[in-house]
Amino acid sequence: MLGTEYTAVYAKVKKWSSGLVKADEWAEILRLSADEAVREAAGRNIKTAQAADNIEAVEALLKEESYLYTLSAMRYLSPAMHRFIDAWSRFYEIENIKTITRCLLNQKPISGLYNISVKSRFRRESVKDIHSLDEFQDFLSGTDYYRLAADTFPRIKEEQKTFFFEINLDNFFARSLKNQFDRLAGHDRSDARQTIMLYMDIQRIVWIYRARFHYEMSPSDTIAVLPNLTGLLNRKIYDALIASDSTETFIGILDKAGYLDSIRDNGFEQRLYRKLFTRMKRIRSGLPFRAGILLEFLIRHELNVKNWIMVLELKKRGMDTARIKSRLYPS
Amino acid sequence: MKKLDVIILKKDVDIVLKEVVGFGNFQVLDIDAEKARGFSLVKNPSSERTALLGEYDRRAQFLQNAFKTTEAANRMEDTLSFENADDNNESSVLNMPAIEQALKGLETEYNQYNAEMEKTRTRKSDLDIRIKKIQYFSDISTDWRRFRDLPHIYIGFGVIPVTSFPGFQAAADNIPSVVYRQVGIEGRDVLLFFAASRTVREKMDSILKNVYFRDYGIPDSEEGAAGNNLMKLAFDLSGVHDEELWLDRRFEKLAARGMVLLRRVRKSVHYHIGMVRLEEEMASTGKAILFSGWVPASQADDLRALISKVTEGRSEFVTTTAAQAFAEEGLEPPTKLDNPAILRPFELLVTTFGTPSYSEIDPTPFAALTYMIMYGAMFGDIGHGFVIALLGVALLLFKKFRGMASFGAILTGIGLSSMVFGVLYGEMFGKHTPFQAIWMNPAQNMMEFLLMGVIFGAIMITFGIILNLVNSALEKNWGKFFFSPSGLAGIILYMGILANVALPMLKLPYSSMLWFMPISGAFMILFEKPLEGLFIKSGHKEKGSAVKSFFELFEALLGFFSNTLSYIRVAAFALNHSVLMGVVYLLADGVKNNPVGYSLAVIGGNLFIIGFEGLIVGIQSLRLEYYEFFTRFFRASGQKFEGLGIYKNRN
Repeated sequence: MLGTEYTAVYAKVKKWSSGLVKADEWAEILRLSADEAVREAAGRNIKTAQAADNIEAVEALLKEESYLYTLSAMRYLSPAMHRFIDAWSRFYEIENIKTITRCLLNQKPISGLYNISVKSRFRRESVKDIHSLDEFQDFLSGTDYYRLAADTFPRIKEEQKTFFFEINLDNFFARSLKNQFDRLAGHDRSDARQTIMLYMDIQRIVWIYRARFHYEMSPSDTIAVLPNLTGLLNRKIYDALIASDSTETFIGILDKAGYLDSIRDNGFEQRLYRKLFTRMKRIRSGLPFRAGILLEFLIRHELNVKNWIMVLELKKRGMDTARIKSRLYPS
Repeated sequence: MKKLDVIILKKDVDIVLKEVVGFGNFQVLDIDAEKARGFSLVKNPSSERTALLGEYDRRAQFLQNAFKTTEAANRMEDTLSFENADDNNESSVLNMPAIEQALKGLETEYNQYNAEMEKTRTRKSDLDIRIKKIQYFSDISTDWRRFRDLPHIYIGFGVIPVTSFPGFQAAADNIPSVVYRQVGIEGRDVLLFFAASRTVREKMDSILKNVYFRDYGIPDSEEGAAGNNLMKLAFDLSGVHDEELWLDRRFEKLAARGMVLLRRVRKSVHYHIGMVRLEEEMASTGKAILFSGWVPASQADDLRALISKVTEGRSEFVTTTAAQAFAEEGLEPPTKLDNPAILRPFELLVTTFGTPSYSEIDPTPFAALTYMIMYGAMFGDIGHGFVIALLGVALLLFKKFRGMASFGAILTGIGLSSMVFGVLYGEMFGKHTPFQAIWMNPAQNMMEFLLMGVIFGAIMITFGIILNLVNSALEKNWGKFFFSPSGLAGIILYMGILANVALPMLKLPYSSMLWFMPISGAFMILFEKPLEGLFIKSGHKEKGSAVKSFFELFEALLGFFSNTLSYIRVAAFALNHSVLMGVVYLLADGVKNNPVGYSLAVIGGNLFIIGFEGLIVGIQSLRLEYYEFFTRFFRASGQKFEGLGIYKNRN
């Protein structure tokens, strides 16, 4: 009422933001050794700060922090926005399912999961005894994901890739998020559109790119697998992206539509996220009593976690600083 | 509270751990590893069992949440009580392997149920689809076999998952020579009939593969056979329905059984967590172990005796009182509220504000009394009080509301208080009682009531300051005792102002010399710091800032004035109640000619007032309790006593 529902938000987000790494700080972090970077990552967490000396432990901490911030954010939201973020928090469950599937396909021990609520079945301790896709499919019984798994697992085994299953999961997620988005109104709706739903659009664009140019799927197959579910990606742009026959055309369409940052020295994904970041800055520097402040933080934190994991993994593999820097998401 | 230092032999550690955790009322003190090293002691390392126990607890919680979806489990939970005899028996505690086995067993059964139910639902869905297919195609009287091998078009019938259907629609809409119809939705599938040109067959097949189309085909039997097939499918479907019901019943039984076991598992987990907690705060030499903790003073000897018994005398103890521990080691003892049963529910009022520190009085009895008085005064009505008390008793009696027992007891108390004030005011369900008001009716004595409110406020504030004097004396904070606005200086100032205002107003004997009281009180507050430095040995030596002191005095005066007037709301709400009930009866009178309407208006109006005004009065009483009363004396800087183990109520 009168924009006062979120008066507590701004101070909270200011405090949480102090744990995020700024652009100039990445330069310092990239100069550290692999081990030093691991310790730095562990120490910067606000919610889960503790000593950790290996990448797996730090990645678990970072992921846990992401989830904890989402839970914390829900305490400050109006009922409709609370339901929207509750739908968003399923993102972590779905990421866990993807990770489990990848581990099982590659016959590796299941690791790297988000530490999520006890209401979810997809926690570390629940899945540690699963060793095959068939066992996992049985495990999914009774959940919303069983049918998705039943349809796609035969294809995973045949093609030895999880691509279609992950897209199915993302489609499922996008649908449930859109259902809650449709119930938002006023500033809540516009803030969600400019943050989380825009992030979802970008994810979809990236998927379309991969489907068309990495997996070389035809336009009709791409539409079938990646429909414009949220309905928020402009129909013409969506059709043009699907129909584009080269990466240059694809990137040109995005550039013209204003989805890409003007700096052309990085891959188009980084340009997409930089543009997202610029758009979200308007929310950060706008009225402090909007849900957008929180939503924008959640996205920024997500990108921050992606950056950390990327930096730690690539440093461990010995990639040089300049190449790592070129892959970083905006911060 | 007493601090107990215990030294035992290493060989006795397991048995002592069990006994101490079983005892329950022992809060372990953290040991600083560095300090321990200074005494050539080694602190036990952190245990890996902590993480494992956390995992067990999460697994148990997940299963509990899953089982709570059934009525049987919810009924079972209602019947389980903490006072259940089995719970207090130590043999009911499961060891770690047994916990793992119990959880594994339940998880396996739960997963099995889900898998079987999924298979049953898939079969049911398949049968439903086949039935719908027959119904769909039999609407058109033709031999569909003719359409199988048409040269230019092909047709198909099947299902696509609901989640993939938008993708199919988007792709198919882009192909002009495809027409399709959504026949219906069955569970998680969309039934689809389509026709397409053979020129786009390959494209169509690729799309259908990508959207996980399941082909059910065009009918291959004659029209007459459709009826027989339908009967067979319907018969199979009813069989599957029965199977589903049977699985649900099996799950209900599993859930009910599981809730009992999970309760035991979780209690065992908490028991082991207590053991690990204590073990981690033990320091050792080569042969001996040392640990320390807080125990309620009345139970210290019991615990010593218990440990001595199980170690067969191979133990040493050092018992320190809380005051000694604070003075010598700077340790703040935790607080365990210990009130008689009748007052225990009102601890909720206190602990919501904070935990009393060990060196201050427990405000629970005062909070109970003042809260009930204020509520009763603001909501004085025999009938309404009776309804509230009845609601409180219901919460106390019904097992379903066991978690709200404290709230139920408070409701009963304030309900009874309202009834008492109802007798004093002569009000029942908003009407005057047949008998004369024992005291006075608020609506008929408005000004007197408002004055009563002010007097009540003065009494409460004075009482608050007196309690602060007691607390300051217990803390031996003599500076606060004598010179603070809530100390002796404050009471002299306050009483002085009241005397100088009230006595002339009430035409009672008065002397202008009484002005000496507030002036001296103000002087003491104004020069609080210097006076404290001068007269109190351990007081502040700082000079203090004149401006700051002035504003403190100003704030104290303003506080006394506003806090006193704040209590006028007690009278205001008492008046409010009469007026609101007047409005209810006024509205009811509008439908006097209709007996049903009149009854509904009266009953509905009364219920509304009980709910709405009752809630507001509760909040206002709480506000007066916390802001005007507690802030005068209640430090609330204590830590709650957290005993180990699950047998906290054993003694």
